[in-house]
Amino acid sequence: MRPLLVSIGNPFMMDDGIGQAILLEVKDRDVEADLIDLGTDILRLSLHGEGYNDIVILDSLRGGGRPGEVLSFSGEGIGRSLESKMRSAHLMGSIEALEVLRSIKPSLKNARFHFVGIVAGDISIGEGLTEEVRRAVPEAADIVCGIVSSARDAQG
Amino acid sequence: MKHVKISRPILVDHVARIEGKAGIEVMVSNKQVSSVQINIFEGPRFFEAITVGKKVEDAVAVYPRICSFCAAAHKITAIEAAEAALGVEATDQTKKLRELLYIGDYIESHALHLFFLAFPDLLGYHDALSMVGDYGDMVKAGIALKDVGARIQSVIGARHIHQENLLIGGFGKIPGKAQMGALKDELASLKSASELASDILINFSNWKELDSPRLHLAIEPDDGRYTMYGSHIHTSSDTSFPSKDYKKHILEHVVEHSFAKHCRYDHGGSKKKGEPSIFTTGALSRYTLNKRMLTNRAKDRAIMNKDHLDPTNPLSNNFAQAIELIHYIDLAHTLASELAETIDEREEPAKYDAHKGGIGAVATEAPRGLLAYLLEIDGTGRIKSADVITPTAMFLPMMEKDVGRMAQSLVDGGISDPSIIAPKLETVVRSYDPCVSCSVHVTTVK
Repeated sequence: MRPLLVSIGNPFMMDDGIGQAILLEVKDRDVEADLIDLGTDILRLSLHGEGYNDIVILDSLRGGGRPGEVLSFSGEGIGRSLESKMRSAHLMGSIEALEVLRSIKPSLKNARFHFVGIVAGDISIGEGLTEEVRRAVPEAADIVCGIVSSARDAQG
Repeated sequence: MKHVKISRPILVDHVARIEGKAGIEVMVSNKQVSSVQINIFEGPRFFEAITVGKKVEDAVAVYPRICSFCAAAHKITAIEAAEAALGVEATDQTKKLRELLYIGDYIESHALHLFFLAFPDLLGYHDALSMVGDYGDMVKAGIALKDVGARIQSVIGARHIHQENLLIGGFGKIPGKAQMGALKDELASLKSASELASDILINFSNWKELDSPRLHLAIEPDDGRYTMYGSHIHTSSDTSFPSKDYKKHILEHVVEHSFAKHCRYDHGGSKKKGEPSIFTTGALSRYTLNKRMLTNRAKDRAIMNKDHLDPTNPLSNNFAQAIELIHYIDLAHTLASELAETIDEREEPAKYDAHKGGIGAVATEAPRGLLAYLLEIDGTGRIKSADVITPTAMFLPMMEKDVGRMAQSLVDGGISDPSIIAPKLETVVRSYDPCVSCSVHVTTVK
């Protein structure tokens, strides 16, 4: 089974488009994975995440390093290291939403989750990434490709 | 003067550039609430500006990014404004498919709001995740309803988000009968789940402190069916105006404390009718003005629970959304059943000439209220100007009034602790299901 790569974010909010930028970079490299952009609603993984052994979330990060720093987490390390509180009266945080899905969807509960993100510099209305973030996208894509290779090797 | 600053609803510290600019501020002086300011971050102004000069076909692909949960609403309304400008007439099949797609948006949005955002407030849980242990079946039902809404949008839009399959004049690829048949079956299986939200809400009474007469605005459906379409907007003060004239009646003005403009309703210019007034829009307004048009199952449920649908109380908006969940599951099932029999996969989009140019104004009912678009297209087929008014901008002044009423009642009761006041005010704000900064999503490193 090919891993599933999932981008989260909005490219019209500058560095909030980090997830989509990583996804596009990985797409250009022809990796053996399924790719999907879920915008700002990770709950839609409920429809698209069934049957995958490995799911890689690509998102922007606040804190944890300087803008442009690439961070990755796997398995339990995601919950230990990240939080995504409800940001508004209208949306759920992605980590909370992910945990809700894993708690009620057996297939997602058994999947291995990975998270690859870049620390954002500027999240405000506008198009394009800030320079330090843009430069970090290839490094993040390298990590994603490594996860895809490891997942393939693990399946023999 | 006591300054009670409530930031939790919009989580001030979550997005760096919104710090200090997003939240609710209530000023209390001599035990009287002297001002309430809800400062929200909303992006339509930016999207109006960045689409100027773009080809109209490209622009209608950008507007849905205003809100990920109303993406279909923005897409359809923008396309129909472009069609009005260019004189394009969509076929009956296109209209049906758009309506079903729009209903998918409603089902997904209402299910998310009720099951995952409102119920944790009402049932006393920190968040949806903490409800799973005690209310696992309810959470599963919420996910199933949200899923079917998203699936409708995926099937018709041919994409899971920001459906590019919708075009000016029609659709790029028409879904097949088998896909419609599968949707019909899934919708039929969710009829009882669609009643669950109202079953939960029956246990919660409105807070009487919020009771206050208010003006409601909603689309008046032309064909007697409770839908998001209609050529007129009508009001609870028995006035009505053509949707395309919304700029004459829904007046926007800038306020210092908010990114979003505030709106008022101009009663028609007659001094007898009074000064422009604040108003509300959304599920409660639709229910209040159009309830006779609901499906029988939704209507019966509403009649049995009139007390929960009090038009003077904003918390009734939750119950009105629950009634709409029932209604729209029924209506979607009817539409999917029809399309499963009749859909013509070979139908081509209507032809048009974008270079003709023109001005088109359209209002529809998005899940959280009236959504209005005015697009001006120049002689090269590009956007010359755009105007977008979202439901949140329309009901924001009324929401501030209700937050003030709630705060005053708590202060009158001798409560001054912000940690007690904040959750109450959050519940009031959330009942409106506002779209505050629908555009960003960031994960924080602990």
